[in-house]
Amino acid sequence: MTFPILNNAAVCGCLGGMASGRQPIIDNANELMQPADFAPQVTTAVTYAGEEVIAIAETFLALGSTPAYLSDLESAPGVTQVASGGPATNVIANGFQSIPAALMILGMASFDNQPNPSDANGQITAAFFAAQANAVSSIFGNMVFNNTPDNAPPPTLFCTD
Amino acid sequence: MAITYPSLYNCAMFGAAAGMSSQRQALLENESTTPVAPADSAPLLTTCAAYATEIDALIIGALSGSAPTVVTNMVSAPGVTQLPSTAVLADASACLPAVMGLMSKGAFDRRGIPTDASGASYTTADWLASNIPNAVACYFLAFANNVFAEANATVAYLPLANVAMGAAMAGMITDRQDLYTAAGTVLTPASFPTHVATAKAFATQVDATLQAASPSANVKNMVDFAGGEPWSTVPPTSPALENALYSLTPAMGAICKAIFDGRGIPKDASGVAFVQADYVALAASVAAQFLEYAANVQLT
Repeated sequence: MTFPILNNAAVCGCLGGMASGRQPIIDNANELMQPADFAPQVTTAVTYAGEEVIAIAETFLALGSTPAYLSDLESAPGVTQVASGGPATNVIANGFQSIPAALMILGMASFDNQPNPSDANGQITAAFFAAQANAVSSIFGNMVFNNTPDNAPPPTLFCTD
Repeated sequence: MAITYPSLYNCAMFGAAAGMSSQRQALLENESTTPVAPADSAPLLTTCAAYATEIDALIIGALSGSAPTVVTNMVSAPGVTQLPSTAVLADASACLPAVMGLMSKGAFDRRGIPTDASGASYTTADWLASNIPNAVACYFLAFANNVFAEANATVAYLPLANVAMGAAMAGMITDRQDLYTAAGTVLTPASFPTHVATAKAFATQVDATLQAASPSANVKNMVDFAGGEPWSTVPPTSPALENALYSLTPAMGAICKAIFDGRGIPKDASGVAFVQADYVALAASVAAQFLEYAANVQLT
């Protein structure tokens, strides 16, 4: 899988959004959620994330290129770069701190207070998430793509000075 | 304008954009049925960039002349991000930007894009006149000034505990708008001791639950247990460690913010803010969801 770290970010954003506002524990101690209860949520989130990663790739294809700020998160397809030394730079370190968290938070917003997303037939499919994934990748892609420091108007994503 | 804390800036901007989009359906629907294009989000991004620039300036001002902190140590020079080559830097790099993003999201959740009296999106001037960036910056510093330190002997999973603490604080302000109730009043980090204390108690309990559980290897490998107490964070020296640090930490943040969303400060029947013992059940649920996620993380 290319960009596993982005896939993971999409999964956890979806999980966070689905959990938002649910408060299953404090409000009703008789309905404590157990580990097994979370498996379906993870399955849903993984399905969404798969579509999200595809949508991100398509977004950058449409924009014309994948900026180094993003592609440098990997040393090879599916192999996460190491940001603490070796070939790492401050820009790569910044990317690791910013990009996965950003995708997670944007994905979270798109699921806020939607605990059980499914299509009209109650099915959870990749196709069901296509429009949502495209919308998230649109904002995400715009921000990442316009990262060059000398952009005008002011850059939307700063790698460094 | 040069940015001093790039990753905080980036996450403030993304977080604000996420909050302004939360439950607005703007992400999900397009009445014209035309696919959403990157250009559609330009106004959102413009105002969020202005907001994040103000956040950066406020943090610079607040920390100017101070002794080095976990925040100032994030950059080796203005705008130059430190490589996470030490335990302290790895911990900070994974949790501080994520918390900034979550707090910014919390401050804007379900509020749409702020507009002035004429209906125009906030510009830099509007943000300068607004109390929102100031309140978020101070709230963030209240968190950053009180994070678990690497020398803490009772917390093992430091990045996870720190992000749990900060994310809980982010959830407490979501929808409450009590972050800036006194418009015009200059808030300081000292304005939030109850938020900090109860969030830290919650994070301590989450960590204790994780320690008692049997987490997957990617979670365990985040900590150098062989060195004994106090435990320390393992700097990411391999793709798997790198992936885990920057996947698992924001994941814990997402889960913890969500379960505090809109609740304010949790209090018992006597009106006393929750202490660690009050969080046992909640922490168990958080840990369960987190571990389920961690077991399904894509390492390659």
